[in-house]
Amino acid sequence: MKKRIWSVALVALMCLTLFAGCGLVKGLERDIQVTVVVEGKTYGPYTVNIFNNAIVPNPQELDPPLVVADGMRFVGWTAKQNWQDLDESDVQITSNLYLIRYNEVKDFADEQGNVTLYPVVRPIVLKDLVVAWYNKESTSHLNQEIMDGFESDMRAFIASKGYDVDNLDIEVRGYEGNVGASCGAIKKDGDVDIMVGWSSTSNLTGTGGMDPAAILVNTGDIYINPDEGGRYAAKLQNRELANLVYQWILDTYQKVIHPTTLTLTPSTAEIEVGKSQVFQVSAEPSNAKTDVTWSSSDQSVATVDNGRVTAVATGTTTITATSAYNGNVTATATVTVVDPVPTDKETLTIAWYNLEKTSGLNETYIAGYVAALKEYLANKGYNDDNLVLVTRPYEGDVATSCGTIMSDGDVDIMLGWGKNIGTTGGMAGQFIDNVEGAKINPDVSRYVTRLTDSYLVRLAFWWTEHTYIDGFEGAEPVKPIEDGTKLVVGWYSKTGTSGLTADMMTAVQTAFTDYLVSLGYDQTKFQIEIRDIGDGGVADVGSAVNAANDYDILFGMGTNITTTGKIEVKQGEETNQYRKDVIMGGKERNIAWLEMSQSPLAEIMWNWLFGTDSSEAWLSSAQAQQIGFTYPEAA
Amino acid sequence: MYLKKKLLNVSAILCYVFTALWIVTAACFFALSNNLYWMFFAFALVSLVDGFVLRSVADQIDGTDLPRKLQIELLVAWIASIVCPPAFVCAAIAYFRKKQDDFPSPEKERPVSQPSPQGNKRFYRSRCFIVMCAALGAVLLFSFCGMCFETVGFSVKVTDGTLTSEMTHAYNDGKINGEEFTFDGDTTYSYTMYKPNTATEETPAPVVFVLPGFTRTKATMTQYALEFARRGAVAFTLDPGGQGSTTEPSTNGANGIEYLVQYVYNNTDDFKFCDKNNFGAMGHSAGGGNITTLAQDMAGEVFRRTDENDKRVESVIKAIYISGYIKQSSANRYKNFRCNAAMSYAYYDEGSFRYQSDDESFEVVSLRFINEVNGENNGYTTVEYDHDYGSMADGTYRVVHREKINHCFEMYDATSIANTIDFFDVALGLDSGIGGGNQIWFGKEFFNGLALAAAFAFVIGLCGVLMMTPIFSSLKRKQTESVGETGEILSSPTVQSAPQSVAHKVIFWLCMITTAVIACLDYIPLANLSIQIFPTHDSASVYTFTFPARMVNAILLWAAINGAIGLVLFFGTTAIENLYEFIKFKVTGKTPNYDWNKFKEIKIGGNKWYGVLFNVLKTILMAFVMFGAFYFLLQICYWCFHQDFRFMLVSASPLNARMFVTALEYMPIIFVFYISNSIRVNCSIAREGWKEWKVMLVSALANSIGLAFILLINYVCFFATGAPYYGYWGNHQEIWLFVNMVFGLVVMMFILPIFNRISYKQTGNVWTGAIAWCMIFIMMTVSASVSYIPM
Repeated sequence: MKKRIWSVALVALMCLTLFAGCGLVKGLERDIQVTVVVEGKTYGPYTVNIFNNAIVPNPQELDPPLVVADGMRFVGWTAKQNWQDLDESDVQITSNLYLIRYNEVKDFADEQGNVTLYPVVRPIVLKDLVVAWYNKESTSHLNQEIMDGFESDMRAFIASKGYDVDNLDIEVRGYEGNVGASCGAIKKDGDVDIMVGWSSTSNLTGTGGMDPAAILVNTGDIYINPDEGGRYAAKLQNRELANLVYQWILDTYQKVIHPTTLTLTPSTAEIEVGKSQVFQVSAEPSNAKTDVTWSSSDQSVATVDNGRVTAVATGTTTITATSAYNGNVTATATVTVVDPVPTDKETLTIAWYNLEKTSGLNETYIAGYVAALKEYLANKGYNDDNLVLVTRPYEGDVATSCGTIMSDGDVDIMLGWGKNIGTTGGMAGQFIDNVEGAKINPDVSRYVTRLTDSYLVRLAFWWTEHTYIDGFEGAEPVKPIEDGTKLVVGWYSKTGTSGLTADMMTAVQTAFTDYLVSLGYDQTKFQIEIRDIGDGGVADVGSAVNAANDYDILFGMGTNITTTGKIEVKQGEETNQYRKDVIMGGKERNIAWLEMSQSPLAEIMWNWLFGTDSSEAWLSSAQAQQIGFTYPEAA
Repeated sequence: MYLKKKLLNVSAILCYVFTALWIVTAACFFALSNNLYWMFFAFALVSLVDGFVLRSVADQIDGTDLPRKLQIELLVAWIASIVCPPAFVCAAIAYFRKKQDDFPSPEKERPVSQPSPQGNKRFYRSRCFIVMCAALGAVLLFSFCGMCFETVGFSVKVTDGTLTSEMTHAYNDGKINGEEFTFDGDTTYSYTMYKPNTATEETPAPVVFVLPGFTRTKATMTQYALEFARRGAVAFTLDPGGQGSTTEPSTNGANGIEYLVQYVYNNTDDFKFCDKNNFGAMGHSAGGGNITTLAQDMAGEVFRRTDENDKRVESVIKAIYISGYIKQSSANRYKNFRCNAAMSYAYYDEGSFRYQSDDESFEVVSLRFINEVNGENNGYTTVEYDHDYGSMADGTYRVVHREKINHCFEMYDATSIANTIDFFDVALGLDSGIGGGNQIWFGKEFFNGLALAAAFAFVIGLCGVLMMTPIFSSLKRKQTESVGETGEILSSPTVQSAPQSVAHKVIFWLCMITTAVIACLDYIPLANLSIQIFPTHDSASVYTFTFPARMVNAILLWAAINGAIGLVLFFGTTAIENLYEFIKFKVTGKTPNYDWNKFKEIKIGGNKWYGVLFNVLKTILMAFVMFGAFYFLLQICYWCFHQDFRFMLVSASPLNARMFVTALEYMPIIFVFYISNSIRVNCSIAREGWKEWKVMLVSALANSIGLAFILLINYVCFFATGAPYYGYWGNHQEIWLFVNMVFGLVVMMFILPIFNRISYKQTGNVWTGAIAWCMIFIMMTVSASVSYIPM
């Protein structure tokens, strides 16, 4: 029983001791009231204690402000009113300009816990050179020993340039703390020329709080510690000695990591004559420089310029990339040049992102897409005789897949990637359009990207947008035409028979020109000629038309255009596909697309006049009726 | 030998073999993150138990017809042996065999080490079994109670979710206000949603996203989530990159919170009960910094539009609460917010020593916080804490709090939580009518803590029960009479005591003090060294398979070195003491009193080398069973009740593959400390002739007092100077976070010797407990930390 009582008492005593200790510790926390006196005026009090600092105003922004003579600057606060009469070493100045810390004033507080502070100004003394280094070895990889060696080398360099080093005021000064604290101290000191051991400018200005304008230049890959990762050297002042030493730092310590091995991607390639492909070079270690010179073992087969290999003639050649830093470090790739695909066939290469959980695409969706695209292109005149449609899956993450696409160099359209092909994918500037909202997989909205420009590619791209992007309203691409393209539209001016008048044909010319402009054609690049073919007999008119041999579309002839008139009409799959009856000026006559027609505008006019699956016939429009045309079939 | 008996013995052995096979299979499936691993683990347990039962039945066969009860046992065991097909066949033959063979004398049959049949009858009445069952019931009961609190009396639905790359791309191209917040690849983020019943499609509720700090998991922020949900908000908690169950190791997307916010915001199918116009977010420590990034990136042009027909360019985040984070880089974002904001910074925040400059101090940053609002500068010159600045209506509200607490406990401080609740109550229009001080989260914390204690008791009871089984009972040392045949717990030992000479006492206490002092003095230097030598350094961007748990690396070094020191002292002092006896004998001629007995306790006995090997394997197996049982029980509680075992900074979370693989790297090396401690407790301290309670108390204090002194030194200095003693170390390396870890470590180091002692008394060897508790404690430590393992 006695033991139990003693045990309980012992535990109670321990608890009391613990509580007393806590209370004692709490008692250490006392408030100090800080007042500041600037130009005879008192401000405050501001309360500080162990866990609370105080912010005091900037004495130079008060009314009246602290008088700071030229060549002087405000450096902090002191509790000694007569600081001007004291040696500098006897004046304790706060480490901050506006933040008053308890530990810096506690020894000066009176019994009531009050302290008064006075602003201290000191001459601005610029040393000849101050190099600041980041004294946080785990981050900067610098320590005192390394910096002693640095300083010694630096002084020797300065001396070698003819300076009297012994009479120069040069200081290599370490700054501790995190980035914010160290940069803050540098700002406060205001006399640093060069900073070494810190990081990028964004780090200095962001986390460090430095003014971007204060950093004249900031260079990376600086290895003052030769063994550890490169840091940065920043120049803050534009002074002669600072400039000299800064350049010396770059020349001496900026380390270029030489590659030990190089690799070309792809390692083999087959390129058609006249085409080119880009080869990418990568190095080991991964941060090594990849500056190389390129060469081709047989320039008659293929040439290489800055990684782009251009096929000249069939054969095989070896492409070599040689490191600019070590001629023994090379990488090779074998290139086989083959005959090109027959020129009457155009190739359309579509890349798709074979990462279904991201792109939503798989072979089934792509097969459906291709089938529908082929059907559309067939309507546009592209078929197996003149079109090679290639679909190619690309795997890996965005960067890998886009990199492969770039190195393949022959992709026209990309399906299934996202917004980040320019950033993560590294394809900035490599594509023409990157449009969102394409739902080839109805449940997944991705981007469709156009890399090249041709009528075929634009058609395929437009069709993809039109088919898979909700709400897409872009106009279908028109077939390009050359400058000076001409369309010759003839009309039978025997009004009594054809029903046509010059005014009617002028109106047709105007309406069609407007239509072409609305499609995006430049009006200065084409000409629509309305030509009177005469009012004579059909045979005579036919002779004239055949003699001219440059007509595209004829208005106003009759059913005897081919028999009596002996004018060949373009043949289609259906009978009279290109000779249609139209009521013009009250007469039922023909509009015919002639066999002799060469103008690319003829098809456009024909489709405009009579419509297509996706557009209405102009001839059935109110405008046409107003002019005097009626298209019975449309009615 | 009687054939039926032989067949059953063979079946039992086959069951043991298949137990190992199923365990290996389970481990493989677990490593492949395939949930089927639990099925194989269950097979392993069934196979093991079945082996025990078959062996037990075999032992009870005496050649006559089997009693009905035994028949039933055999039938059940045979059916259960389906998980071991060969055993199933053998047991089937044995079951249906009718022929009566001659039965030899039982004395020739029963191995010496077998317990008497009378011992088996006491199995169900043994203390261990009762403790195990009671602890199991307590764990389930406490977990249920914890669930009641977490679900606020079943009015809140708590569900876990996994955010994948595909999900972030699924809606609106992953964009908010034209900016894309998506990620690519196979990694995932783990989140938990707390949905009150009042949140419906008809009455959508405001949403609060909660993000923990560095090394913490989402479970450490449950108190916020359940209090928000209790007041009608939908709350989401997220495991940040590299932490908890999230497999993405990077800190991209503001540690993943941007991806989750984007997904919830744009998902028009699954979150109709969320008011998309009323999002808030809060974070503690590094989580607070991430929240400022979130608020800036999703700021839009205005706080809130009144004309709903306008194109939406308003801020998605309407209110944020930044707790415990004042870095200048974060302060640079304040001007870009388009939301109401509150900040709190613990009055006794240990990390404030880093911010004592004109640009960085809390005073300066808090002034910027109330001044730099919506791109304007309000011109305040002083900050009044707890004062309302600005207006909630136009998104310019600001308030700054300073609660009288320290950094790591701020999120468990009632005042801090009340400030957070009150802020969102008004900012998001919860208008719950429940005051911020009305909190119930501690109920969950309390019951989870009880569950943790009960789970430990369960493992202890299980250990005793296993020792009553034939396979493990042979581990008991015949000469160690302290261990009863029924594995009684806390019985008085009869171990041979150490010689009680003055020299011995001096050496003993000198060793105790030395190890405590070394443990106190070397923790921080070793923490600093761990930053230098391991690939992770102090970076959040180095992903590696080589010791990827950056903070645990400090514990790794500390445990290895102090463990090794402990072993050296143990063997060294023994050698010195015996050398002293030898010298005394030579000088005085007195009979020397050599003491080599302490080494006997370390050996694992057995008949010949294969017997020893078999016992070693059984020791390891038993430890694995204890570890597996602990985590199996934890997983059951998580599945059934969504509860893990935790109390504030000491926690056990359900296993996930990346943390498990991470922990496997640390266990072998840290085991040095655990075996060293087990040897010290059982082979040194326990031989001083003290009462058992004194042995445990001295062991616990000796093992933890060194670490406790770190806290004492650190905080005495902190309260005396305003800066912790262990703030910077070496060349300005920040190590104060390593001191935060000591809080949990002290608790574990206090209870470890007690568990080692109990395990020794149950098993008769120092190894089983050391292995088992090493596995359990390291798994707990790693799961509560951060790992940059790229898997």
